[in-house]
Amino acid sequence: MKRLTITGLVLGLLFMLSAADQAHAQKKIKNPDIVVGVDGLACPFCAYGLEKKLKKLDSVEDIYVNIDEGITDIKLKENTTLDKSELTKAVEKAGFTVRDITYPNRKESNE
Amino acid sequence: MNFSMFNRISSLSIKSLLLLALFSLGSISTTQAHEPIFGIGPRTIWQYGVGFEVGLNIQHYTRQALYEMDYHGIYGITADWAVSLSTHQPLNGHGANGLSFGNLGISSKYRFFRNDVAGGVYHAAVLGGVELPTGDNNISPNTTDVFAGLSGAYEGRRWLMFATGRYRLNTNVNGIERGNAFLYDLALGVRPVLTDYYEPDVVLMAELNGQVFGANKRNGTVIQNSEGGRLFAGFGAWITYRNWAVKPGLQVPVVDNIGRESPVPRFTFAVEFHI
Repeated sequence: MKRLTITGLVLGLLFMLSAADQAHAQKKIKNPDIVVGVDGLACPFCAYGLEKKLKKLDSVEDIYVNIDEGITDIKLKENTTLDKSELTKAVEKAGFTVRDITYPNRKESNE
Repeated sequence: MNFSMFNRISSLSIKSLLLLALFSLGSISTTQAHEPIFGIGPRTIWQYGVGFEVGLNIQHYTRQALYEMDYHGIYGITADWAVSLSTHQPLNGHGANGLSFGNLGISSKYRFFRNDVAGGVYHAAVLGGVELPTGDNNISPNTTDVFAGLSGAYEGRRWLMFATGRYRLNTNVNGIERGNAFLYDLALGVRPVLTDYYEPDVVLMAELNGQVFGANKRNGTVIQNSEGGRLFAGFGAWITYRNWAVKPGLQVPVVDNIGRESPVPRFTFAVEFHI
């Protein structure tokens, strides 16, 4: 009984630590500032690391991960920018490879 | 308690607490979500990421059922290099009192090859580790053993394939020269329904897990029934939701030519989460 209680407490603690992250669901971003093509994205569980790394960037307000298409939409905070090198570094730290990066709201080229 | 309270705790301090907990716990078996359930794969974790797994193993012998807890943690030094700590805690049988822990395993994986493609990854990693004589002598040998191996996999949206080989160098204990062991795993996975992020994801796994043991010797004489091989078939599933994974599995013996007490089916149920 004591063992089961300890095991239950450990599992409960783990659940609570993660619950804060689970409180919000993923919402589609209507007008993304950046669209990133990500290679290596095969499963929802692996996508968590990508979300963690992207949301750590100061200028990122929200992201939407589309695993089937291998793309991530990014909404930036107002009056902020995010350059390609910083974005690429974040994706690499998450264990993925950037395929392409486009800025749909920019008039200049998206090379 | 509310969520905002947890949000105030920095992710760094949570990770520090968990790592501390892992150091106080402590087998060379290093499973991780999205790896074979009874074997190892090349999967690492993102840089500075922490994964924690608690598992229950049940082996049903004729005389009694043996219950054992497994604890495992992984930390990402880089996205391709991870270190792990693991230990086990028999809850009954073989002198276990339910409170003692087995030896502490410290292992590492370096993913030296990774080819990310659209909707999948081909990758390979070199594995290495040591099991330290930190555990209760009633449930773990008082030895320092090391292992090294290679693992490769393809993980796609629909199909997943894993192949791993490990060689384990066992050191002597109480005048017995312990034979070394070669362990190998082959696994095939399929995702019946392709789900997106924030949706529960299920992968069904079928595995073959082999063990080849060298002879144990005492004063240069081979100890009977200590040499040979075993092959197990394993079936299980990964059921994940975002950073949570639940992994039930059943492993059954297929071949056994060692001659000691015959292996029995093993049921495992593990819960894992990443932060």
